[in-house]
Amino acid sequence: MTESLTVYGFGSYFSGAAAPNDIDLLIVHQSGLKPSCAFAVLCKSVILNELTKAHVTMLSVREANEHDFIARARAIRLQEIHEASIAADISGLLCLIESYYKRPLSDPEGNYRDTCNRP
Amino acid sequence: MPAHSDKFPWPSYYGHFDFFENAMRRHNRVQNLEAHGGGRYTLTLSDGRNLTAFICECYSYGVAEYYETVEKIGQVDVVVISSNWCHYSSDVKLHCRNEKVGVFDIKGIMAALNNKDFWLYLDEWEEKKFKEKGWI
Repeated sequence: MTESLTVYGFGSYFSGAAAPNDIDLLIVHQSGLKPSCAFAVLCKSVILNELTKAHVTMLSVREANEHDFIARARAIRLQEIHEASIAADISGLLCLIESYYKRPLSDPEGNYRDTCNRP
Repeated sequence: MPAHSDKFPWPSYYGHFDFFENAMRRHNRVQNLEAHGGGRYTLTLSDGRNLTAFICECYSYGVAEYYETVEKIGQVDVVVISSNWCHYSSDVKLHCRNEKVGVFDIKGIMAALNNKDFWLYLDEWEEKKFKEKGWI
């Protein structure tokens, strides 16, 4: 089975704080089976290599639903990452994350995000 | 305030785990506590067993986090989620339970260590949930 997952952003960075301390990301992967978990761990590792200030939480769909994490954290859906296109997808994710930082400062309407490949 | 540091294995934001250490040192079943840094400890129980414990302050500890923990620091016997604002999933509790690894909050480990098969311990709420799911 081809693995895929969805990355969400939450916390101060995505709510427009002027000086956020860190970038909170949530990886929601397909299941608790080892291949799905391994893909989440891989994506987390790649993301952290690019974003040293990121804090990445990993949960399967079922785990995220259990504590209603997405709604409670007011998480914003950012990007799907597929095994077959991991490099391009993570590049798109990084572009989106950057756009959220720039938005409140120079682009309150969020137009900058249009330059990214939004899902 | 962040619930973590930037580096694996998520040592406390304050760089120490005083609350956990104090709780373990006053536990009747814990003979010795040795800190190895980065949230890793060896607990020597009064029956002579040595347990490798990993303590973290992640927002939510799931099965993938457990795989990552084992990948990074090796096999553990106990995972403790130390903050009131953090939690773990039922799935990771079940997954680890099947591997004879306990996943607890501080209150949970205090109770669990009174049992020989500590990894099987469930608090009242967990027991109800596991029964509802048909897991026990």
